[in-house]
Amino acid sequence: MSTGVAFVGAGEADRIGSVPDKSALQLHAEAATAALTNANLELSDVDGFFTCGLDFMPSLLVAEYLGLQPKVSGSNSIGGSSFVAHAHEAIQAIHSGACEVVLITHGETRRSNARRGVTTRPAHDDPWFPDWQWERPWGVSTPPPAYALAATRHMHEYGTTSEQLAEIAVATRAWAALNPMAKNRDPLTVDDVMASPWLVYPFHVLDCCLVTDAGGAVVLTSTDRARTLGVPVVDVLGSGVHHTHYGVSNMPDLTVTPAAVSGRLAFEQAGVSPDDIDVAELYDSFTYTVLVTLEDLGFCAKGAGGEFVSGQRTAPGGEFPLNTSGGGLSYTHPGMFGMFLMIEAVRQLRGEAGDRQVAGAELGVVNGIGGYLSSAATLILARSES
Amino acid sequence: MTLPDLQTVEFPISPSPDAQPFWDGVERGQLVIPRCIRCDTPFWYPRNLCPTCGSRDIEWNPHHGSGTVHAFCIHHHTSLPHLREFVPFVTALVDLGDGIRMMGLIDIEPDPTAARCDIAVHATFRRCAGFQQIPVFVPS
Repeated sequence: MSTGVAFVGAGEADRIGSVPDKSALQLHAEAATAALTNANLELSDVDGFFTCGLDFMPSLLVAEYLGLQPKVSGSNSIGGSSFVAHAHEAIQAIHSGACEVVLITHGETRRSNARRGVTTRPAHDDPWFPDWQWERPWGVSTPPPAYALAATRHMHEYGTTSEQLAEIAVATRAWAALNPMAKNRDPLTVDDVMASPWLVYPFHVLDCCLVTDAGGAVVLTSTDRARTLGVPVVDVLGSGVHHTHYGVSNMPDLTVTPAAVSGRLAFEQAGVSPDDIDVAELYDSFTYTVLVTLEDLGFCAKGAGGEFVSGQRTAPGGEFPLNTSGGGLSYTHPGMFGMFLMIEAVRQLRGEAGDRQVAGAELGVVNGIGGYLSSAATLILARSES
Repeated sequence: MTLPDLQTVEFPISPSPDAQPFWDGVERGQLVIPRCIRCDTPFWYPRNLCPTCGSRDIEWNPHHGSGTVHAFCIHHHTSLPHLREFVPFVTALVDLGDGIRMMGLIDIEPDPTAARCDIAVHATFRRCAGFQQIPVFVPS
């Protein structure tokens, strides 16, 4: 059943990947206008606005740049899943009548920041905070080792193998080959992944997402308003958000992500089951993130994720279309990927995905994972019947 | 990993006010763990309220320092300057019993790739530069 709220537009910045000649705010603005044009709406129609990732006051900074003074705004910041969580909040705000048209934007120049010697995110350097006190001294201050800790436990408990993780990178690259906006499009084999250097065991370099410059935006409104816009409409059937910890040391069960809860909430609200899903966009910060999320959303039993992705089942032409944009692994990943999961799901369900279009895609799932497997946000989306 | 001479390495640790008893214990060569007096639950990491019941009545108890590796990773690169010369090195989450799971370095000589889940380890204490002693786990 519909929540009464729908996606009506989605778009990227003009160029994504390596964009050293533009600021993060330019990428927000380019994506915002692309998504609004895609929705047959104008900036002046927007009365709700969400973003995060830049500065201490992200919604103020970006709303000002865009010329917005929204009735409702937010900058919930729970890692790469944030933008999916923003959609969850937008649904509630639109449903309550607090606002009618919500714009969510993301833009970061993570690839080019290092070259310019700048940082655009807020970050603390207080050694009395728990991450600096209890994890950083022992080597964990970034996502790769944190996710690696969870992955070794999963491998130990369930026999998950490096080859099974590599299958995900290979299938995702095959989708990227069909996406002209994807950064890495050359074919990849399981042997290539296994032969790539270790970053942090059990992750080879090719088990890890890209770091790019990119901007993206989506637009939501009430389904009533959506049907007046003259664009294909993607109904939200269900949504859920959950988080369990900040540092990976405090993850209640290393092999279970908060998607187990956010997914259950979203599927229950939607009144559909994983068996009904035609296309899945699941955060791939690492190959392992996808594998464990497939289990937590109920696409397979706990521990069966490795088997589920084997034999290129998730590649183009396979039984289970997964991360059809080419994902964070091969398409783009400007430090957070939640926005781009939604963009691809909207395109697939509007039938606008070009060479990579999943035939007959009617029902899709989006799942963002943020922090150190800390947060999850799930959406169940449907091609509108109107 | 071999951690032959930590005395040349400056670990970026500044004991937080709620964790001072832990670092005092490490300096004495002992792990001490906070426990809630009201609900009788040990917890980690140290903080000024019990994360189970919210009580602020907390005591510190000595711990034998033995546990098992719940999970590990092997760093072949690190962005952290104090550890750069030690790659490849191993970080583990060590289960110390009673629900206490502590992150730490484990020193597995001579081959860090011999690290495994569920192996028994115990805490040792090593002096480093710029700070006092730090705990380092080794296979038992």
